[in-house]
Amino acid sequence: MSHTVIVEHVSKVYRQGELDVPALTDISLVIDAGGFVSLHGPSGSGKTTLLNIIGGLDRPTAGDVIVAGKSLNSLSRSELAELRLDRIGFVFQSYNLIPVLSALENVEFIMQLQGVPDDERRERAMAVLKEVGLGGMEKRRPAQLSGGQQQRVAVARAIVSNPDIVLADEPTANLDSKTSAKLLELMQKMNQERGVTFVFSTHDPLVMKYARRLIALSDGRVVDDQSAGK
Amino acid sequence: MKAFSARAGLLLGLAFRNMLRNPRRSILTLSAISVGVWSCTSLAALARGVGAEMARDAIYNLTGHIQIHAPDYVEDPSIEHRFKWPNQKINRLLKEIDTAGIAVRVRVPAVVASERETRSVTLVGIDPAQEQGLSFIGDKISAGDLFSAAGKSGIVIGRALLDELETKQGKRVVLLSQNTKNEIADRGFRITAVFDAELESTEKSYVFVSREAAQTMLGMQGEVSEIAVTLKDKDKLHEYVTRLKQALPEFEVHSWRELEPLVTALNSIQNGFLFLWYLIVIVTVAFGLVNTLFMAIYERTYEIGLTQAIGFSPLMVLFEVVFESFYLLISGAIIGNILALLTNLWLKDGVDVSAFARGTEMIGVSSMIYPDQRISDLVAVNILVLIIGIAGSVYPAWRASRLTPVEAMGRRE
Ligand SMILES: Nc1ncnc2c1ncn2[C@@H]1O[C@H](COP(=O)(O)OP(=O)(O)OP(=O)(O)O)[C@@H](O)[C@H]1O
Ligand SMILES: [Mg+2]
Repeated sequence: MSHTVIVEHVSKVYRQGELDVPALTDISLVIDAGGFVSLHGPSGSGKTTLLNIIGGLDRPTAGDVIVAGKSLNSLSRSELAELRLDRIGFVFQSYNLIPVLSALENVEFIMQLQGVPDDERRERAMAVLKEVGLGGMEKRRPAQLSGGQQQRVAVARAIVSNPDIVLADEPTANLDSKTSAKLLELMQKMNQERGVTFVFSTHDPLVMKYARRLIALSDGRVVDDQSAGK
Repeated sequence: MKAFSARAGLLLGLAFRNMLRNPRRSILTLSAISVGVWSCTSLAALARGVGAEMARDAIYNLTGHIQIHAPDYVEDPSIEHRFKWPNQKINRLLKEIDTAGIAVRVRVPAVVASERETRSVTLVGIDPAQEQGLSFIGDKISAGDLFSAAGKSGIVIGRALLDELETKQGKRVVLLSQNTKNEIADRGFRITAVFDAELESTEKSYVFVSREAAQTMLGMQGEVSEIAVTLKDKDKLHEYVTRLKQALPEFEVHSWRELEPLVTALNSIQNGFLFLWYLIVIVTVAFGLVNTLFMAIYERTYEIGLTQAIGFSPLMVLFEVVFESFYLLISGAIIGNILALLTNLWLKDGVDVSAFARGTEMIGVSSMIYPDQRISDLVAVNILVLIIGIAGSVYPAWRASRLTPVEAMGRRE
C-alpha cells in the first residue's frame, strides 16, 4: 500500500569553495500515491538533486521530506538505508545493476535484504522478470544484457517489493527512442497494474508525454506543475 | 538487524564474487599471505627443532630430566654436600613415577695431572650400566667393564683433554681431590678409554671413573653426590618434580630447566624472537592486504554507492569488505599451512647445518636440525594472521562504509 510523499520547503545549497550554489530553493510538493510524475527542466535545474533528496540519498539544507509517514530528517544513515530498502525504488540512468550478480539475483537482492524466504523470493523475481519481458534471461549477468534490458531489470528490481515510490533519474537517457518508449510503457503498466508511484526526470518530450503530471524546474524552483490528459 | 542470516549469506556471496573479480590481484594478495604464513610456521618449526636439540643435548649431557642432591650441592658442588645411598625413601618415590633411567653418581671437582700437564675437571663416578640411554657417556663407553679392566682403576677422559694433557690412552694420570676429611686424596688411574663429545667443552670438563673407585678414593663409601633421573613421558616433568620436591624436603630436587638456565633462557628468548618475527611478517602482509582492499574499494566506489542507494546500510558495506578480506586471509592461510606441512615432510630427515657447525656448537647444538612443527605454533600464526588481517581491513572497510551514496555514485549529468 502506497503513501503520499510530501516535500516540504526543501532547499539545497552546495558550497563550492567560497561560493554558495543554490541547487533547490523552497520546493514544496505533494506526490499522491499512484502518481506517474515527470520532472523536467534544463540541465542544472535541480532534477537529480530533488530526486536524491526525496529518496533519502542526500540531505536538504532546509525543509524536510515525508516518506511513509516518516520525516527523513529524523532518520539516521542506517535508518535511511532501511527505509530506502523497504519503501523506495531507484532506477538510475545507467549502471543500475551489480555486475557480479545475474539478472535474477539483482532482482532478488532487495528481497534477500528484506529476509523474504528463498522460495517466495525466487518465485516473485522470476514472475517480475517475466512481466518486464525478460523471461529466459534470468541467468545473464548485466554485461550480457543490452542497455534497454538492463533498465528493465532495474525497473523490475525497483518495483518487486512494492515500494511507496519509484524514483527514476533520466532512466531513458542512454536509450534510443524506440527502447525509451518501451521502457516508459513498461513503467506505465507497472504504475497502472500495481499502483506503484513513479517520479522520473527527463529531457525528452517523448518521454514526458507518458506522464500524468508534469513538473517543470528551473534554477531550483518549480516553475510549472500541471496534470495532463484532461 | 532484520533477516540477519539472509543478509550475512548475501554479503558472503557478494564478497566471494568480488574476490574473483580481479583474479590477478587476489592471487597476488593470497600469495603474500601464504608466503607469510609459510615463512612464520616454517621458521617456528626450525627454531623449535634447534630448541629441542638444545634441550636434548642438555639433558643428555649428564643432566637428565630431574636431579636429586643434598642441600646446597647445586650452589657448591663439592664433596661436603653428599648423601647416604641407598635411600629407601627415594627408591620408593622413584618407583612411583615413570622413570626411563636412574643414575647414581659421585660428582666432585678434581684436578687431573699427567706427566706434563694439570687440568681442573669434574670427577664423575658412575655405574656405566645405569648411564646407558641416560647420558652420552653411557652410550660412548658401551663395554661396562672398561673401568675394571684396569683393576677398578680405569679412567675415561675426553679427546680434547687427552690432547691438553699431552698423554695417550693406556697411560696413567693422577686424580687429586678433597676427601670427606678435608684432606687431599690422590690416586692414579689408567686411561682405559677416550670419549668424543659433540662439544669440546664437554670433552675437557669431565673425567669418568667407576663409582666404587671414586667412593674409595674420596672416603665416600655408602655415599653419593647426585641422582639423575630421566622420564618416559617428558610432559610429566613438572608434575613429578613438584611431587618429589614436596616429598623430599631434606633434599634438593631440580628439573633440568632449573639446572640449565641458559637453555631455558634461550628458549624463552627464542619465543620472543619468533613472536617478533610473526608480527613483522604478518603486519607487512596485512599492509599488502589493506592496500588491495583500498584498490578494490576505489574500483567499486560507484557500486558501493549503488548498493547503499538500494538498501545496504553502512554496516553492511563494512562487512562486505571485511568478508572479502576474510576470504583472502582464510585461503592464503590454508595454502600457507599446506606449504609448511610439505616443507616439514621434505625436511623431516633433518637439515644438515654442519657447514655452520662452529657457530651452532657454541650454543650447544649438534649439526643436524630436525624441524619440529608444533600445533601451538601453527595455531598462533594462523590466529595472528586472521586477527591482524581482519583488524587491518576494518580501516578500508570503515572508509568504504562512510561513503554516501551520492558521493560514491558521483554526478550523472
Ligand atoms: N555535488 C555538487 N557540488 C556542487 N554543486 C552541485 C553538486 N551537485 C549539483 N550541483 C549543482 O546544483 C545544481 C543542480 O544540479 P542537478 O544535478 O540537480 O541538475 P539536473 O537538473 O539534474 O541537471 P542535468 O539535467 O544536467 O542532470 C547545478 O547547478 C549543479 O551544478
Ligand atoms: Mg541530473
